[in-house]
Amino acid sequence: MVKSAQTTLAGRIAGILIPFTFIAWTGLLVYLLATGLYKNYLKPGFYILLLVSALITLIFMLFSLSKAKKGSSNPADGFMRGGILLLPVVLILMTTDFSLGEYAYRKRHIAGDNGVHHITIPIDSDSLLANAEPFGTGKTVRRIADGEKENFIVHPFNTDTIAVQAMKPDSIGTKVDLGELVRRWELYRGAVVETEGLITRGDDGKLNVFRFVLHCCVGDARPVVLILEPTGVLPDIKGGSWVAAKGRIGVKQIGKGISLVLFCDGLSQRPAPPVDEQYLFAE
Amino acid sequence: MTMQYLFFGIVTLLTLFYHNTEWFNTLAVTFTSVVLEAIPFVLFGALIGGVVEQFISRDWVVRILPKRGWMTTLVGGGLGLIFPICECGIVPIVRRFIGKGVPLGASVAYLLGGPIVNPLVAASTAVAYDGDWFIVALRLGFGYVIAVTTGFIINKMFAGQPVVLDAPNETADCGCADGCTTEIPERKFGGKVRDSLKTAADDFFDIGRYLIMGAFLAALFQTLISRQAVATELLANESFAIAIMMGLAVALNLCSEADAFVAASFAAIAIPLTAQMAFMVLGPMLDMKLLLMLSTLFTRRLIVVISLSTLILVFLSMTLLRILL
Repeated sequence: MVKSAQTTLAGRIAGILIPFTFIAWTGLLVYLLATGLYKNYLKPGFYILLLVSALITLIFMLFSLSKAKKGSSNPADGFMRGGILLLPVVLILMTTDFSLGEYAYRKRHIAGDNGVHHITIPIDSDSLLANAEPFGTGKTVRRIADGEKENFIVHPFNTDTIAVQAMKPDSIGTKVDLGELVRRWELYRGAVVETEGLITRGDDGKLNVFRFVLHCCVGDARPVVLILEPTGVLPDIKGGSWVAAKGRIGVKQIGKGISLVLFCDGLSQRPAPPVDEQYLFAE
Repeated sequence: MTMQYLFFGIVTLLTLFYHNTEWFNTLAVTFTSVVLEAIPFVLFGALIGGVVEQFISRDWVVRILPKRGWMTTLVGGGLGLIFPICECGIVPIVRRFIGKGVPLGASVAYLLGGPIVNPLVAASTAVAYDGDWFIVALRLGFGYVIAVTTGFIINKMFAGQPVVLDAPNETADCGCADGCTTEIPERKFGGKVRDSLKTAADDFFDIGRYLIMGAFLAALFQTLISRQAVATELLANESFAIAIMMGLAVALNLCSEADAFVAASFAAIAIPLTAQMAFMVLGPMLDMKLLLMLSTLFTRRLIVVISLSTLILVFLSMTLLRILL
C-alpha cells in the first residue's frame, strides 16, 4: 500500500511539500532578519533565536529531501500539514507593514473601574506614587484586596532615583518617549514636554495618546496611555493617526481617581514612523 | 483531519475577504507573532526529542530512573529547573521520553511543571512583579505541586493502558513499517546524528500544524474579546475572578516567560492576586495550542483527564490561597 501511494502524482507532490515548507520557513526567517522586519512582530532580543531557527529549518529541509524522492504515503495529510505550516508564511508577508492600532487598543486596554485611565494617587500622602498602568505590581494588589484601595497606590518604580533626577518645571518642549513619560512621570511633572503616539478618543470622550509595549511579541503587547487635557482648541485628527502632542505634564482628578494628564496646547499629525519604531520594547 | 480542513478553509476565506480590514490585520499580526515567538522553541524541542530518540537507550533511562514510581513523578515535576523549556517546545521532548520508558506520570509531571518550574520563568515573574519573590515562590510552588499531583493521578488511572499515540515517521527511512521501535540498532555516530535530525524534522512537521492552529485561536480571542470587559466582570467576585482568569489563560496562549507581565497589568485594576496567580499557573500548563499539540501525543481520554485535573487543582489551590492570604 505504501508503495502504490508513493507512485501516485499526489504522493510525489505531497512528498516535495515537506522540504518546500522548510525552505519557505528558512527563506522567511532570513528575509525577516536581513530586513529587520522581525521587529514588527518580536522584540529585538529574538534575533539570535530566529537566526538559529533559520539554520535548523535549513538542516531539516536537507534531511527531508529523501522524503521528496520517496513521496508521501498519505498525500491528503501531507498537503494539509504543509498547507497549515505555510499559512503563517503567507500572512507574515501580507502584514509586514501593519502595526497594532486603534482597534487593538480598544481590545487590549484595561482602564480603571470608572472607564478612565486613572493613576491613583494617595489623597492623604505626600509621596507621588502612581499606578503606571502597563507595569503594575502585585504588592499593591494585596493592599487593594485588603480594602485600602482609596489610600494606596501601585508604584513599581524606584522613587529615590526619581527624586534626584527630577526635571525642572520650566523646561520647554523636551521630547520624551511616551513609555518613559508614563513610567516615570514624577520626573516630568510640571515640565513642558512633547511626545508622540497614536491618537484615540476614550469612552469618556477624552483624547488619549497611546503606544504599545512589547514584552516578547505583538501577542503580549499592551498599550501605554496618556490622557490629553486641552488648554485651547485642538485640531480634529482622525483616530488611529500618528501625532505629536505638546503640553505640560500634571495630574487631575477624573472620576474617582487622579490621572496623569498632558495639559495639551499643541497637537499635530505626523507621518507614522516604521512599524518597529511605533512599538516600545520592554527591557 | 476534518478540523484541519475546516481551519485551513476558514483562514483562507478570512484572508481573501477581510485582508484589508484593521481587525483582520490585527488578528493576522497577532497570530503570526505568536507563531514566530514559538517556532524557535518548538524547533529546539524537536531537536532535543530527536537526540533523545536516537542517542538514549531505553535500558539506560530505566537504569537511571528512581526505582519507586512516585519518586520519578516528584523528579519529573521539578526537571524544568535543570532542563528548562517552554510549553511550546516540551511536547516533542515528552513524546520521546515516554518512548524511552519514562513513566507516564513522571512525563506528565514534566509536561505540566517544566514550563513553570524553571529559572527563566522565575526571573521574568520577578521582573514583572517588581522583585516580589513571594509571588515567584507562590507561582513555582503551586506549579510544582499541581504538576506532580496530576502526575500521580495519571499514574493511578492509566498505568499500563495504551494512552500514548505512536510518533510519526514521515521522513525517517529506518525501514520500520509501522513506526520505529524504541530499541536503537548499532550505528555509527554520523548515522545517529542523521536519524536524529530526520526524527526532529518529522516531529516538527507533525506538531507544528497544531501550534499554528492553537496560535490562530488564541489570536482570534485576543482580537475579538475586550480585556476591559473581562476585567469588569472580574471585579464582581473573587472565585469568579479566578475562574475567568483561568479561562483567559487558556484562551490567550501567552508564553510562560511573558504572561507574568500581562497578569501584573490586571493588578492595576485591583484584580485579586489569587486570580492573577491562577492565570500564571494555569497558562503554561493548559492552553489551546498546547491542547492541540497534545493531540499528537495522547489519546483524547487522557487529554481530558489531564485538563480536568489541572483545571480543578488550579481552582482549588487558588481558593486555598485566598483563605490563607
